[in-house]
Amino acid sequence: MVVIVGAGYSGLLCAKRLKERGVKVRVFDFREPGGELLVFTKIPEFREHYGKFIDEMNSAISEVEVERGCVVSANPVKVLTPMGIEIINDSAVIAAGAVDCNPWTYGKRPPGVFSPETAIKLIAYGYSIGRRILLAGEDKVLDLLETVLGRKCEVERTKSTEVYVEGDKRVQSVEADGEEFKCDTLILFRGRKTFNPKNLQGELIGNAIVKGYDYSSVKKSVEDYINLKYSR
Amino acid sequence: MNDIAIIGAGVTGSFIAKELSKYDLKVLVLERKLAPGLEQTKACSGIIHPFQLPFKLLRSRLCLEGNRMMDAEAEELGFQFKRVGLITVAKNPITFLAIPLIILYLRMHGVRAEALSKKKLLEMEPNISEKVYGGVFIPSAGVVNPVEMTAKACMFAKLNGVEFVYGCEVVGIENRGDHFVLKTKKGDFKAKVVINCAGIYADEIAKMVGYEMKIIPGKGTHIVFADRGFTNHLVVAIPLKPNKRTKGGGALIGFDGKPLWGPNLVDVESKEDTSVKREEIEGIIAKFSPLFRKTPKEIIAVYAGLRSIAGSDFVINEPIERFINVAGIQSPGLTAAPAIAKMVLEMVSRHFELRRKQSLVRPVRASKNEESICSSLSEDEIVCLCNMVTKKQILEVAEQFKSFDAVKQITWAGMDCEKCKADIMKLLGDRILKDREEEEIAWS
Ligand SMILES: Cc1cc2nc3c(=O)[nH]c(=O)nc-3n(C[C@H](O)[C@H](O)[C@H](O)COP(=O)(O)OP(=O)(O)OC[C@H]3O[C@@H](n4cnc5c(N)ncnc54)[C@H](O)[C@@H]3O)c2cc1C
Repeated sequence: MVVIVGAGYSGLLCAKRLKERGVKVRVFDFREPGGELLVFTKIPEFREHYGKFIDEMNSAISEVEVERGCVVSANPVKVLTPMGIEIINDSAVIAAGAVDCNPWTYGKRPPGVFSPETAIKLIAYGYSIGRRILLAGEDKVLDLLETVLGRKCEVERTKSTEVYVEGDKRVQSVEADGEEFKCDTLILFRGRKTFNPKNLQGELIGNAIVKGYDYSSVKKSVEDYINLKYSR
Repeated sequence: MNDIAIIGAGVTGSFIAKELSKYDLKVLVLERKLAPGLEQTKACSGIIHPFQLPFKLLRSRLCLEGNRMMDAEAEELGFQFKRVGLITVAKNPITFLAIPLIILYLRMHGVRAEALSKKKLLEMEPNISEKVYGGVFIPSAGVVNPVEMTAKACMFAKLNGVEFVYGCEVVGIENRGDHFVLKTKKGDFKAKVVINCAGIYADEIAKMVGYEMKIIPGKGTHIVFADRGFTNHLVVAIPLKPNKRTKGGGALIGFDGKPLWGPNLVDVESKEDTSVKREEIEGIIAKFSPLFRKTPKEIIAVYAGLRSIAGSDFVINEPIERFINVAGIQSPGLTAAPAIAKMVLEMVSRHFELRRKQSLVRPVRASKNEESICSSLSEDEIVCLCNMVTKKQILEVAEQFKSFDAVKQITWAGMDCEKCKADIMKLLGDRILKDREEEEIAWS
């Protein structure tokens, strides 16, 4: 049997493929299944951009059973569940996804500085995150955010991630690459990293190794893993 | 009429409030911010220092005493405190030769210290550079979460009858002979005795009753790295010549084990200037990385705080009858807080006949062990996986303190990565945005 940690796109796809190959799986997530794609479904532009993967994931959700539990170590797998601590003597596949690097800046630390990940979630939850927004960094996800935010706010861009922030109760201006931007909100992308707070040891798959916003690569990583390990 | 009004709920004011709550006194705390400890206290390094040089200073004596009291305080109030120990490293032959003298000197003042051979040192801290000569281990150094420590003192005080008013800046004081009237936007408050714990603004409070003093802000910047376990002790270098104004910072760790490098000391003009310069970050890394084989992975935050410096020592006095200054509480004020509170209790006893309360209410302690997490999972959920903080714990703190910043600092939720920040904001947005006070919730 294989224990899959995380029921986002990668974990669910992996579970589905393994099941098709007759491998027994148990999938755990400390939240409801769906991971960040579930968040993306709530913003039209994201829903459209990631549509193919969202559909794929939803079909996997209907086929795979996901258990609520927090995996705190692997080898052996130890899961905290509402029923108690469960120890499972099987190998674990870590599909816990990626997380944006913290958007730290020079200057002051006023409210109004977000990573894209936090900004996307807040938008999905129905908050307006600012009026004049500066997007800093380089990635396709920022282009997508620009379209979403551009509907209601003034949006500016800079490629630089070395930024100085001014402001006390709220961001007032941001200096990047010698240029000053007047804005109340900064969305700063410093890249993504594996989300593995318990430092679980096991095979990493999906966005846990791809570490990005490009789900074609995420999909490929899962498929490659399956083909390598379970080629028929 | 209150017996005592405390201005400022940093660690100093909060520990005084906690101590006074054990007696039959009517005590009031007025704090400008929406929660305790959000100014100097929040921005400190969280180190429970083993000592402060030179030993003749008041702050040195209170540091030693506070350090000794800390286990009992942590137990009574229920905050996290670990004596992780401090390693001070000899980087060159001169400081290496000084080790026996250092140990003797510390022991003379009651500080336990032992010599570490290079081999032992590298066993204790494998990331330390091969180039060191040896070191001294001082086991009494510890780490806390400063805002949690402060908030727990406030919770204890509140449970035992102290009244707290947040979002309440004192803008004027009238001396009416047998009592004072404190002016705020939330109305006037009367008290027989006033204790000034306003941190960096304590000089302005003192001025309101006609006492002149000057507090100079001394900025200290820190870097937080993601690499938990990079070192397991606080690591500093033995200075060739001690600096009178600062202990010089170090490759420290937070109470959660993340590397915390700094602080430096930069004089700044303004009491609001907590901005971090790139040169400072580069300077801190350049200063401490030679102690190690490599630098820790990934910066996740940088922050600066302002020390309230009034000369070389704390200023704890009663310049005007019934007006007590607890000012200039620079480093190691966090460490000294329990001892300062005891000292102030003594001063207060001149004005009141102190009667200890028959019984005290103790705060309930949340357990973080795995069994208790499991049993909470059926009706609760984990929000922050990095620090294992549940929804219920977050909402409990949010009930008491209506500030995102306070919830983050006290529970430590969202202090490692970006995964749950939006979820915490949503949880709080739904509950506290509606009745928030004038200050904007720190969405950062
Ligand atoms: C960079 C740095 C690192 C440090 N590291 C350590 C360390 O590792 N260990 C250690 O022991 N010490 C350390 N210190 C020192 C320690 O942080 C301080 O000694 C301690 O926090 C002082 O607490 P306080 O309550 O006096 O001040 P503060 O925490 O500043 O509290 C003062 C409070 O008064 C309130 N206030 C101000 N004006 C008014 C007003 N008019 N009306 C109402 N309320 C008001 C403020 O809002 C604030 O909450 C460090 C300090 C700095 C700056």
